[in-house]
Amino acid sequence: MDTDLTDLIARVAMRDQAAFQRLYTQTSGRLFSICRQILRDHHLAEEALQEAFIQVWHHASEYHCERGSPLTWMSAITRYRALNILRSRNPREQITDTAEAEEETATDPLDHFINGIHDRKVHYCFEALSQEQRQSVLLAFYHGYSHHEVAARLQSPLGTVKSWIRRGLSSLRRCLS
Amino acid sequence: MKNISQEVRQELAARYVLGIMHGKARQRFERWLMESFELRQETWFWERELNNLPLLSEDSPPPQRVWKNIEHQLNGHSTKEKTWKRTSLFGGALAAITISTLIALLVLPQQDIRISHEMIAVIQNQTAQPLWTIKLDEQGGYLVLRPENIEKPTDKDYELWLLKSGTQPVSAGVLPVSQGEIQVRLSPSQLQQLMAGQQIAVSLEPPGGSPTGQVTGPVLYQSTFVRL
Repeated sequence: MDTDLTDLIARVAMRDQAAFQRLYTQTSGRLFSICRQILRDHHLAEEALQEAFIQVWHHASEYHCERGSPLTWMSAITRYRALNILRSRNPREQITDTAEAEEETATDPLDHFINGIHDRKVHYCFEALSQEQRQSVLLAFYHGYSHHEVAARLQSPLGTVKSWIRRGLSSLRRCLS
Repeated sequence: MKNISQEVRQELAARYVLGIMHGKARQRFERWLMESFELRQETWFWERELNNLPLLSEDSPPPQRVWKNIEHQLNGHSTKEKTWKRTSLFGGALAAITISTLIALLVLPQQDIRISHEMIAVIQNQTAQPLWTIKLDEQGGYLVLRPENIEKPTDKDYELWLLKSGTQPVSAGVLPVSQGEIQVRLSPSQLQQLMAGQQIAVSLEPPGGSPTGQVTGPVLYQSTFVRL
């Protein structure tokens, strides 16, 4: 699939509209899930997805393999757009008590996160983190939480959470290299 | 950007990609990214690792209106035909007219489109290493071309083209490959082409440049000007 996506991106870089539409068809489902995970608002998620694809259209020629697979590169662009929208809102609105957020609190999907990792090395590296480090990093990654929001969610002091994230990232960096 | 240790670079890049770096710190980091290849590599490392993680939920198809909106937005500021159709080698490539282009076309007086800011474009290879830095001095009406890391091709020259949607590329001459920068004075029509399109490309041409005044060799690189 990635070879196909690389080919599509190369064609998008040459301003091939049909290729762009195929790229959208093949990837928008995954990218929309990323937007929804972070924004938890259907309309904002649509806005982020739209912005992400506009970026892909304009920057397709900047893709190269050091940025990961095409889908990884597009996921990064999408996350940044979603985070931009999230941060531009009133901070008080960022953790909303929507049904989705309630559900997430009740059955924390991050508990099951490790089972979903197929790459053995990545699996090992996340498993090697302390539970607090892993939870903090993943809350920031999957839901776009700030330090303050992670602290509120985990009911822990801000300084402690900052330290968990810093050490968690540092351990991951060493382990994944 | 000051010289910073590898450890700090790693931490900053991780914080940036994770999204816990906000506001001005984030903007400053993005500026550093333009200057440091090592920092870009570190950022790509985190982007690769984190964005490859499994999703928490299944793919969820977006409503059809999102694609309609994307189409509309890409067509929005220009005519539909020009934006999407490939009218020439470059016509399609540059079809999406940006807001800044519109401002340049609509707001600035046509007789004197120069304003008191500099613009810069960096031409990079496939691994994002800079090959040339191109600076536009709009007041002086000239380009400063600085080779960064480029070797002269055998029996060929690199030629710089100014691109604008819906028109033929306009040559800005042969790019320097040896040490030291050169200045190229732009004619009013070249300057207008550059300001309107804000994009450039590099093609491989016979020694001395294209014999026809149009692109004859392969197009190797493209870049976009950003305002400093």
